Amino acid sequence: MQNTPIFDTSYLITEDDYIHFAFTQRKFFRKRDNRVLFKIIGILSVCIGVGAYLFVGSNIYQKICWCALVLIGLFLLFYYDVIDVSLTVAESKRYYAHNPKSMIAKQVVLTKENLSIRSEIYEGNIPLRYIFKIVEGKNTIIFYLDQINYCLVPKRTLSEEQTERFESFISDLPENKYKKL
Amino acid sequence: MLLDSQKEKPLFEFENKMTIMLYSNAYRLYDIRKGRSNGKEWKASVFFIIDMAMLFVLMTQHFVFSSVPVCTIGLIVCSYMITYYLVLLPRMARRYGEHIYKSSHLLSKPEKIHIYSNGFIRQNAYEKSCGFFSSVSDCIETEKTFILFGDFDKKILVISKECLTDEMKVRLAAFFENQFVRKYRKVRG
Repeated sequence: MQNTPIFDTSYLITEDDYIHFAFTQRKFFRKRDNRVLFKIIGILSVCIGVGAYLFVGSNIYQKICWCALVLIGLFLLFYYDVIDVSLTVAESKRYYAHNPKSMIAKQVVLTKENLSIRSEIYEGNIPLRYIFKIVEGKNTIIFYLDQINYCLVPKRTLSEEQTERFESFISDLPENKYKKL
Repeated sequence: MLLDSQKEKPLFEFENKMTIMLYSNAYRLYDIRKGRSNGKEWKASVFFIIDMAMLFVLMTQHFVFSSVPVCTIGLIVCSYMITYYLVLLPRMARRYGEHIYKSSHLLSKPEKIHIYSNGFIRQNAYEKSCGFFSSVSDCIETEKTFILFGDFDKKILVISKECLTDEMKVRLAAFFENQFVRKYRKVRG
């Protein structure tokens, strides 16, 4: 049937959903992942700094410089795994707390032609050709209406059957419309 | 809710059309108030003070750059940071605004705006949304637009003055000024 919805779901975005969304979004918009490069430079800086501190540095100024090099190395080494993650979580929690109107309950219905969104402050029936991009993360599906406006659907709200229908639906989409992360 | 109870007659009702120039300019102002450009003047001032200190040290060394390499590098870095905050960042924000506008099929659609005593409703052929004035954090009047920022759909509402009559412009400016008081400001550009 052409008009059978691929999914029809109602939900309230929780803080966890928003954090998952923030990670997916960060991954989607990040042009390059310098994880390996950061780790290599980090390990080299720590090794050079510790070695020079123990065997080269003679005066206090030189020792301060080597300590700074070790700290920079540690920063680069843990940037992606600890610092970036903590910053994303903190930023998401802050945004979630300060923008309650964006986190209200929604009903989202996806059909083969339209994405219909309904909440107490928004009603939209948007043709799929007007959707900028559909991004699927581990826990969320994001429908980008443009670069900054989006509709977030947590995967936990979809039944198995709806998830299967969505998987088959996205396989028919053109490559520039859909991205799986 | 505002979407469901439209019994109240709107105070203002007009068609609005957003162009790429109006949106990118509004996004630049949004970035200054809420984004990365927030506080760009004082950040640039800090770099300017460091820059002056570096210049003073270089002056004492009769501008022999090789004798104080740290100050020379500091001078270059701080000068770049001043340019970054005062010139590059606003340009980047404007360009990002253009990018958003181009990526959206809905922003360019003509919309109808209804303004009530406690909020507004914007409606185009595909969507309808409302915002309450209590969620508005800033109201800015420029030569060509009225711009509202806040926690509502799309975060930015741009009202083009070209879509308003002269009398309506005056009345709407007075209404916003009275409604938002300290959140209301006039800017050039």
